Amino acid sequence: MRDRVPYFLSVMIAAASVAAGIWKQDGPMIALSAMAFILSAVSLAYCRGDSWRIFVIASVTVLICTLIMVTAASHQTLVDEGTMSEYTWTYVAALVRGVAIISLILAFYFATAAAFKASYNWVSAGGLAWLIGMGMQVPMFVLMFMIEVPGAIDSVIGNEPAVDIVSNASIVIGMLINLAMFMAFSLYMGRVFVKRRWLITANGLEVRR
Amino acid sequence: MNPATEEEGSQTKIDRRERKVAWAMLIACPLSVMLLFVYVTLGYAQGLTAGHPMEYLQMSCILWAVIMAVLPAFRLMRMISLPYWFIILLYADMYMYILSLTHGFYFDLPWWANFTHVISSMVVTAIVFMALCLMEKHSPSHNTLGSRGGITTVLLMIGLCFGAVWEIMEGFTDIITQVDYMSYGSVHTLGNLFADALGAVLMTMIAWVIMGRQSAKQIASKVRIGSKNIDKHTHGGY
Repeated sequence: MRDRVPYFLSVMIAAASVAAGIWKQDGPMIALSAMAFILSAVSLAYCRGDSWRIFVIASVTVLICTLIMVTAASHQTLVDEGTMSEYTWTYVAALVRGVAIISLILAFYFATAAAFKASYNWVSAGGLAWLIGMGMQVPMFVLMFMIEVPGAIDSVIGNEPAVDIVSNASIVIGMLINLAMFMAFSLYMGRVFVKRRWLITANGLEVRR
Repeated sequence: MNPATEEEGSQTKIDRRERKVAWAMLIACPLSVMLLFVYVTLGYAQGLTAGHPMEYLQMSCILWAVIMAVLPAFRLMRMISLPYWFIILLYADMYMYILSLTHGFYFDLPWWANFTHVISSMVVTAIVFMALCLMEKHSPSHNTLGSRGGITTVLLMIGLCFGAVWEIMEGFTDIITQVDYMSYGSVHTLGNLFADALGAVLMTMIAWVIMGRQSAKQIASKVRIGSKNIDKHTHGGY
């Protein structure tokens, strides 16, 4: 039972991050925190051994990124108060969200390996990591859309013209920056996995013999 | 009868049936789209009154007639053979696109563009599903996506990814050309991502149902590329 404590801690940290996101109505960070919460909950049920480190690191990273995004680096603090232009803020937001997603990619591999008896070598862990990271961006933008754009769902079914609250270029540049970050992470992860003959399995990180 | 001969007989039957379907598609699909071309040229298409230029609709009909002939032609040349469920989904998407274009749905129905994003995202996720099944079949035993749940979870994430990649392409085209040609603003992009996500989720649910009946390896065995693989399967190789 005692070995479950760090996993439970990770769930609680992720829950705190969700709460922080809801507090300031930050759609992207609510989505990423919710992913951290789900992955931590899966780890609580299925993971064994030292894997808790990955989930605690992921939850703490997401919590820190959420706190940064809702306070010091929020749109309101940096753009509305004139500290920087929206384009510069786009880079800052993309970097902070990208760091959170990278920690979630690792958590995703460990959680799914334990829950579904998967085993990832350098091909799956390195080759697919950037795709999984980009996939995590979509729920992030969907929640941003639903929370931050007035009349969002009505605009999807064509009833109401919704108001643009962010520029399209900032969304695209944000996604591009994250794409570059995830590709670099993917390449690095692939190389490390090849060199150290690592596998992510149901038992955590293993060395292939 | 010898079981091997029996197996060979049934595979030859499958081959014959697949070739018949390919011939039917090769004739019927481009022909039906060329009928739409005539319909457009005679000026009856509602897409013309909705605002599409005639040349645009005519060229779209010709282009899609050629594209629709590619897969059946490749099957007849023994270059590629795909599962029926995927072919039906792909051709339904292509017909929906060309019919809605000639009927002006993109202009007359404000929700249509997002609806087509849902269907297109389903097609892309279906391609990813087949790729993951192929990967599962050809990977060494120490590299596996695990059970049905493992494959569908990875499928969902990668299916979602291609929605984002598509929107990057649309948005970047507009940034480079300095014209609102593809994305029409952030709400349009976010709405498309919402629709893409819905399509990826729907196809993942379908993949979950398919994997309840067949294993990833069985699904992968129906995706055959190259004459060697097609002959091996249709002439008793399995």
